[in-house]
Amino acid sequence: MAMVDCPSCGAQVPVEHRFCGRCGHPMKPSAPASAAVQTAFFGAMQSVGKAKLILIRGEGMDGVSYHLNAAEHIAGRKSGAILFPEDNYLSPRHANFFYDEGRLYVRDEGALNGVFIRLKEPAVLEDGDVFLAGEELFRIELREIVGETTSADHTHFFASPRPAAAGRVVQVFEGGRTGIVHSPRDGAVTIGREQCNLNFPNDRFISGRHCRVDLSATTATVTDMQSRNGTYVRVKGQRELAHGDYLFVGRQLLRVEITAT
Amino acid sequence: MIVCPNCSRDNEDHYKFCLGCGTELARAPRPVAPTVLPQAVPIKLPGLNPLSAHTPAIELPRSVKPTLIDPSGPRIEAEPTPETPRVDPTPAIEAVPPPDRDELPFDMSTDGEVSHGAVAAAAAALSAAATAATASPEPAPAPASDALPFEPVTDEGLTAAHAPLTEAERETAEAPTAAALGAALYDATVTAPEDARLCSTCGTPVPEGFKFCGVCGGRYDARSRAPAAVASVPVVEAAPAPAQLVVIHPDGTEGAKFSLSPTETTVGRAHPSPLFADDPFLSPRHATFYFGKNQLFARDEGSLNGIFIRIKAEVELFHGDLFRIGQQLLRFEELAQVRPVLPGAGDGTMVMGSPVRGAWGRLSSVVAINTPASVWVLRKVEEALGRERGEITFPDDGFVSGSHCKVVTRDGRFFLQDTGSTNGTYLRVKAEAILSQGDLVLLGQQLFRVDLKP
Repeated sequence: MAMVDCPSCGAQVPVEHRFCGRCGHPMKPSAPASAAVQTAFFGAMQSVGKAKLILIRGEGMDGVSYHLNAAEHIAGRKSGAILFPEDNYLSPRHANFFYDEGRLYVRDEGALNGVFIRLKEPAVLEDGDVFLAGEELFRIELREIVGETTSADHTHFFASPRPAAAGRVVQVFEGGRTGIVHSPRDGAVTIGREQCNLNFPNDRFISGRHCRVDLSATTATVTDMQSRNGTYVRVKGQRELAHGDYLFVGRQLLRVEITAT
Repeated sequence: MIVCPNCSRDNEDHYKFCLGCGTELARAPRPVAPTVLPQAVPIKLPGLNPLSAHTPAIELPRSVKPTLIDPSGPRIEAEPTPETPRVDPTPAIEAVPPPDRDELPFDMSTDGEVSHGAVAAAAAALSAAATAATASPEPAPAPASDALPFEPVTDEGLTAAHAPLTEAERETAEAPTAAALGAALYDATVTAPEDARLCSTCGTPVPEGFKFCGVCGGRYDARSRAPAAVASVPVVEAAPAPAQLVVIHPDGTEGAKFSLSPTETTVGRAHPSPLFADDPFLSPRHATFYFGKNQLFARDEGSLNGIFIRIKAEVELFHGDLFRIGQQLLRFEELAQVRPVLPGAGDGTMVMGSPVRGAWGRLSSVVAINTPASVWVLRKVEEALGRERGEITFPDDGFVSGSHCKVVTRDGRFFLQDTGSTNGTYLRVKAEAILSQGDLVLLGQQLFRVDLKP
């Protein structure tokens, strides 16, 4: 059976179906999707300075392209031109891809989970910033842990020794619980599948040695260690995009292609 | 910070032994004034601003000395000083007379910190009373032992220095990290001479010719020597006690014994016994020991630091349980009962994060009241803890064994197993627990063994 990709969610839809069985998006009745994509692709090539987002599917295959030919393009779960109705990690209105003076930007529209961009060079993070390595999400905490060590009746609390360093890397589980909290003695944490400070042997998307975090009193520097799938940091506010950038929007991985400048 | 001379590790000022390698740490010497007690000694207290014009110069007339003795504390430590009475220059600090808190020139209760000066002074004051009893050229009035019906001096050339607090015990009050499990609180075990007559029940020296112990009433039996080498009288108990708590020193030797009342005994910082009174890690009312149904129970009186009992083979763990290994205080949480810290959006958006992938629990190290620091996720069926081996390691904690304990899940339940650790794994008692013969119990900074008498 001939299949076409749903332009909304990328699901495989039989050519004769009029709606996507996954997301309900109306399908163009006759034109084969591949032809439609190609046509649009060439169209995009002609518009100078315009960009597109390519949805990356399993094993790195390219999926649907979203052509960014308007002034702004909303990505979200419920509204916008870039719609992912089945991805519950997207807020209803999640991000905005827009042009300003011919440059492409992405702006977090106050999304719960935000937009993550793949590191091309080490990034300096602050307290509360988050990053992704493989499927693992981490938060940087630099504030000193405060807590009473004496009760109201002046009894001293018998506690564990405090970690030598103030900064720590905190794993965040889906649903918002806290997982691992690691305070490295020397301020450096390596993260990967094996032989790192924090190991995730069951994460298929994490490299053996994936990234490292260097914590100081006020900042944390995240460095990707040439991992296969990259290390992503959350975009704060808005950020200019460049050709070849990779973004996570919810569970969707998008590649930015800027046609020409 | 004290830098370990052996392994160069930084240790907290109050540590007596290096957390990394166990080497005894040198401590700053206490101020010593080269004077033998004159009629009045002006003293500058450590901990007070030496520049202050108000630094109290404490006048200590001789006549004040008897008030130094704490009448509620009938305690005796027979110190083995057979050679000579003390002739050292008396440390100036020893003359500080803090007969009670109101008269202290500093407030031990304001900031919750027991200041070094305060503790040292208080302890030294007690010591001064004892020193006066032996070393003073004048007849010393009322040493601590007057509370007892006999003079606890053996006739073996032992000039008993009735130091109410040993040096080691003074250290205790300043060594908050304690010893959980034997972390060194005591410098040395104070042993009685080989041939001292010690009560076999409570360890009190029994003077020659006495058939019964003046403290506990126990019959003196020359054949059975006191089980412990330490002579100490923690409490006055009229009738033979049905159970006692025996102090276990870090080196495994036994120390003072504390007899439990046949009905109930509440211990804590407010208890007059020196075993408890000087421990800032005990709540004022900490724990109650009582008998019910022929069993000994320990009940936590809502204390801050609780009662910890060394586990034998395996105990079940429940959400929120606290246990101690080495210097670590760890909290177990069942992951299903952990609340998310990140709020959802309320619009159906899920909070993104790492997949849980079968994780079932968390362990947190607790560094302040209700304050976790490091957290480990429990995912395998068995997660081992140790200094060197296991999924969760504490390489800096010399009191954790290489392989120490395990947290295990089985049939949806959770268990804690000791895997042959040297210092043991201690689980905090929730509400109350039944104690058995030989149980090891941590109260504040001290480790006790439960002795039930037949």
